[in-house]
Amino acid sequence: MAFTWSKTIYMGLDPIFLTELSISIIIFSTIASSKKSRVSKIKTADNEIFEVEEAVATMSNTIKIMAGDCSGGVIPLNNVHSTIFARVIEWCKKHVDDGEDLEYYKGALKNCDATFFEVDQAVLYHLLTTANSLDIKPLLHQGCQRFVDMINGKTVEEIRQLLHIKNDFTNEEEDETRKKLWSSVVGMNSFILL
Amino acid sequence: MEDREGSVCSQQSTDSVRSVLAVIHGHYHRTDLNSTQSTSKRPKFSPIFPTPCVDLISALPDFLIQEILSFLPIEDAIRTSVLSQRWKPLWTQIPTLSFSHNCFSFKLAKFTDFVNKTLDHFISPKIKNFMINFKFEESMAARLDEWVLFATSHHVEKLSLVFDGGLVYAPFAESTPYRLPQFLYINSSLKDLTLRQCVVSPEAESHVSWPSLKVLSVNYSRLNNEAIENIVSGSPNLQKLKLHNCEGINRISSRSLEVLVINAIYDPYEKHESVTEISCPNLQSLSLLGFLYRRTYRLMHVSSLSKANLSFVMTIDKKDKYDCTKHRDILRELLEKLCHVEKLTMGTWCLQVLSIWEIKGISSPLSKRNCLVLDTEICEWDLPGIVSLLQSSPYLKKLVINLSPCDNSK
Repeated sequence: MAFTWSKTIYMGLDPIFLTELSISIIIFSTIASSKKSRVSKIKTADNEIFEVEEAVATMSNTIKIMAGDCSGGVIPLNNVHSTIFARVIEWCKKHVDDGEDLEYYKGALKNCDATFFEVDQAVLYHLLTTANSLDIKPLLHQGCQRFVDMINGKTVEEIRQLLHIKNDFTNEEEDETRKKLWSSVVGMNSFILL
Repeated sequence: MEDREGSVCSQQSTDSVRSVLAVIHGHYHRTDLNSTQSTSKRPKFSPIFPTPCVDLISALPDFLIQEILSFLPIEDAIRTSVLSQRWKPLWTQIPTLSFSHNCFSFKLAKFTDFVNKTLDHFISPKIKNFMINFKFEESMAARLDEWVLFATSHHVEKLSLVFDGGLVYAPFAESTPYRLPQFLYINSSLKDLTLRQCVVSPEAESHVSWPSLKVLSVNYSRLNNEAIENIVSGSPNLQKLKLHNCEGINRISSRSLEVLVINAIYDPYEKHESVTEISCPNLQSLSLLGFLYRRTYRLMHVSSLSKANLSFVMTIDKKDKYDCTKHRDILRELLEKLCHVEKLTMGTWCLQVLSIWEIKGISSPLSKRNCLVLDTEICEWDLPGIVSLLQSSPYLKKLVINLSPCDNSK
């Protein structure tokens, strides 16, 4: 059986019908869906107005619903400050094409997200509460993961120091809690050490 | 103690002071631009001036802390109870309970004890996510029924019963798998069910009622004759169905199904040809993967299909080793039914069947596809098949070749 690769291709293809043939040898292939860019106007608590592409803004279910009610006007967010909102929008722009499937966001934070979440606790706190009030599940998911990474491998005392948690147990209470619950706790996947 | 606390504080506070300064500058910058507005209206919410050394995380509402705790392994979530009085009761209402036992680390009895104690302490009336994973032994059946009852009585939404063991070509070689309790088949809260190494056999025809079920994944499991048909008809909102290495299924007919994945079946003793009919008018994505023995898939109503993946392998009987007429016909029928699909993915074995086809001068059916994905290592035997596909795709806009090693037999 003798044939040549190029000869067969030449005979087989009709170039008029092939609009665009790009043979891309890649590991992952994505088909990007381009939506027409409509812009949403959002006003934060400190009266700053953000103009954001609709696809990016509607990653927040809250904004999506409010946009339906406001129909083209300015969407007011009365409990989100502009500095935090700016960060949230920055995150949304990065992830607008990643879909809603939470499976994609599982596991350790990837590089770009890891740097995004390298913030101090105050900002992390606000990111979590804002992600919750704006109902952006993937952002909340990653914020929680970041928090877990922060306390990974630390002892109880170290966690108390890191999070500035005041130990309001008496010695006896603490011992009792440890004995009652911890004695039956088993696991190879533990982060928190005794 | 105080010194240490102080030094930790100061390092933290330097970082937070830096970020506070950055924020203050940013804040003033914006107020400069809107100076007329800022003097008259004070912002209703100004959070970004944190005092260092304040326990902010504990100030989060309960359900958010519990969400964070659900990301920890259950053992660590329990251990947070000793952080402070505020944290003590939080773990008892977390939305996720996930128990995973590695048989090499400690005995099953200890694991059982741990699960029971944890469930005893649990006080929330509802649980979202319940997962159990260990190597099932027959003696555990009753205990497992209790745990499944706990989950169902707490209105679980996502249930995963994943048991280790079993090999691809001998799924039940090791021990008797877990038989799902009959009460599980009637459940109104379940949205997502994952099973591995179970026996799925609802007793009566109308016995399955899963009105909220959207996602079902059954792996390496034994199903009785009509099990899948009963399940599908008892789940009117089922959107995604995945069957991995289960026995042959005769009919999948659903109005709601959008994604169907059949990855390998376990049918080695099936001598004569058997057919699975797929009739899902709203199906958007179909994937036939893995080793399918001699079973044919007949697509009855798949008009909404936009993505299809044919990366399967079938048994070639010795007597027709070089002929493959049967397989050619099977593939031809499938391609004819899939000619309206926009995105087609094809694996090596199917490409090679097409190659044999092409060499004999038979072209593949014309299609409307605009995206073609080939998972292949482009060896000599694939080329005529690729040509055949390209020739039958006059509207093609995008071709993707994922080079993957040839692991299917020729």
